[in-house]
Amino acid sequence: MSTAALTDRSERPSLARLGRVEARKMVDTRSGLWLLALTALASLASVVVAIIFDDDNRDFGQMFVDAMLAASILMPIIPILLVTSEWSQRTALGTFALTPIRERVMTAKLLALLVLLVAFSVLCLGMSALGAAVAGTGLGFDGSGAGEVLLYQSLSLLFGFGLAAVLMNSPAAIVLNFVVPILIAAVAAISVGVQDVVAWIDPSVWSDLADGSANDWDKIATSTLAWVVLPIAVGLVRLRRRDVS
Amino acid sequence: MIEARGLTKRFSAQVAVQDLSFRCEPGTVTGFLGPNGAGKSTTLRMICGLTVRTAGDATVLGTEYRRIANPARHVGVMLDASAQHPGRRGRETLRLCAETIGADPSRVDDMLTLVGLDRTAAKRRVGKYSLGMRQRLGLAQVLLGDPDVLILDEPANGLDPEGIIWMRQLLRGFADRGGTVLLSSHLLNEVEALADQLLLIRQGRLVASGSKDELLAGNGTLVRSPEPEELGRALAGAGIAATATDGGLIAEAEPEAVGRAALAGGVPLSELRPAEGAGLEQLFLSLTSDEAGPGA
Repeated sequence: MSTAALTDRSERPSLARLGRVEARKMVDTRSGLWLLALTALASLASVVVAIIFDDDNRDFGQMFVDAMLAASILMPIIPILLVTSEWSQRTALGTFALTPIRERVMTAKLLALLVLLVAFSVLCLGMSALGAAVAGTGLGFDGSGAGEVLLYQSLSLLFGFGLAAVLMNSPAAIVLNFVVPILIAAVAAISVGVQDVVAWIDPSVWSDLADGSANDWDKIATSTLAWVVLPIAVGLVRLRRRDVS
Repeated sequence: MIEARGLTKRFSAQVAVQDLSFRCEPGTVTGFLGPNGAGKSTTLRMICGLTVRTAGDATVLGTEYRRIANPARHVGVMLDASAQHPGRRGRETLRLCAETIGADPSRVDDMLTLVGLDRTAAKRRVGKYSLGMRQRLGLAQVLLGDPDVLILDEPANGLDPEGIIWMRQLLRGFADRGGTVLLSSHLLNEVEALADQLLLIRQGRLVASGSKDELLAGNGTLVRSPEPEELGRALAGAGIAATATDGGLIAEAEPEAVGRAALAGGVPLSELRPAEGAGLEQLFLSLTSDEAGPGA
């Protein structure tokens, strides 16, 4: 067979195809299914609580936002394991033998996260619509806060993805996912001067998006650079150089 | 076809593979032999672009592996049968691979049948598999894309004797249909009956290579006769040196010459064959043992 035929790019599995494969990897293992189930359960719990306490403010829109926020506690572990399990379970050996251009695998994983986000949003929409109907709080939904909460959810997922890409180690990435905001708060507490500087790279500013109070878009942008763009970039460089074994 | 030219891998101070060059031709099975830690896995990973080379280059089917658009359609690679997600079912593992490379999903069941994993086994999670079952699953996976080349790291590891015979037939058939097979092993007897080309490495260096026949030539002929003294005289008469071994003689000549000498001397023979097993084993041990090599 000629070299031209072997290297013909039209023969290359498309990113859509690789994305489908990565999405499938999130649900076809026991641990992956448990994680998804627990995440969905957290959202369901938030809707149930809203119904039980029968707060009139908890209409469809608010229930949706709350359900998404409840999911965002555990959800970043999904992208973390999607990346790190390749190393901990050593499936990277097979994955990168099938797809030698390693960045393509990472892009496919990002596409899979998009699928995850859409799927969860639909699930939360369904649950909160049902919840609002049961609670009788009305199905009116002006969409306020939905964009912000989606952005918040995306940033949380990408934060986990970036940590996993750099560290390539499940326990380290999971621990840091929860500890980084605490550490930054601790550093900020040293003095007001330090706090002013640290505020620019503090990912907890993202939670303003969650409660609809976001106005510090500069700080949201800089902390995204520090905790999403930079880790993913460093992770890609590390990945290109790493020996897979 | 696989070609390696001057492959070298250094980890900081340590040299794992040093200036390794070889070729594997279509229609042949090449056994890549060496003790554990000799650099076999590192070499195979360098060929597949998984380990970054310090120097040298390697091509598969004339192309650098990384540049092949959909490698699994041309090269089946199994570098560690146990490197599978334990929480994933056997069949699902293959379906993921089929989806990735765009292979017909019906091939998943065909390959499972081919490697002898039944429905029950295919439904189990890989974590529950024995190493032998993982090897079978791995072979099913490399064959999914109907490749022309197979690169297998220790494929016989964990297989029972029956499994080794099965794998030998599978790979022999693959090579006989024009395929190229490169497989590594740290155990001589696993590849002895299968490989027709051998590469022996020790401490990252190639210490011997060639066809099995070439490497065995010069190991002499085992000959037995109910009249050993007569045989000894006949061989001496033909100018063939021989040394006694248990119940027979190892003659330093080809079987045909030994047979003619016996015929000329009118000596009946009960056995006449190349002194194979012991010869290759001796070669392997002498080339790979610490005492024998240049580094000793």
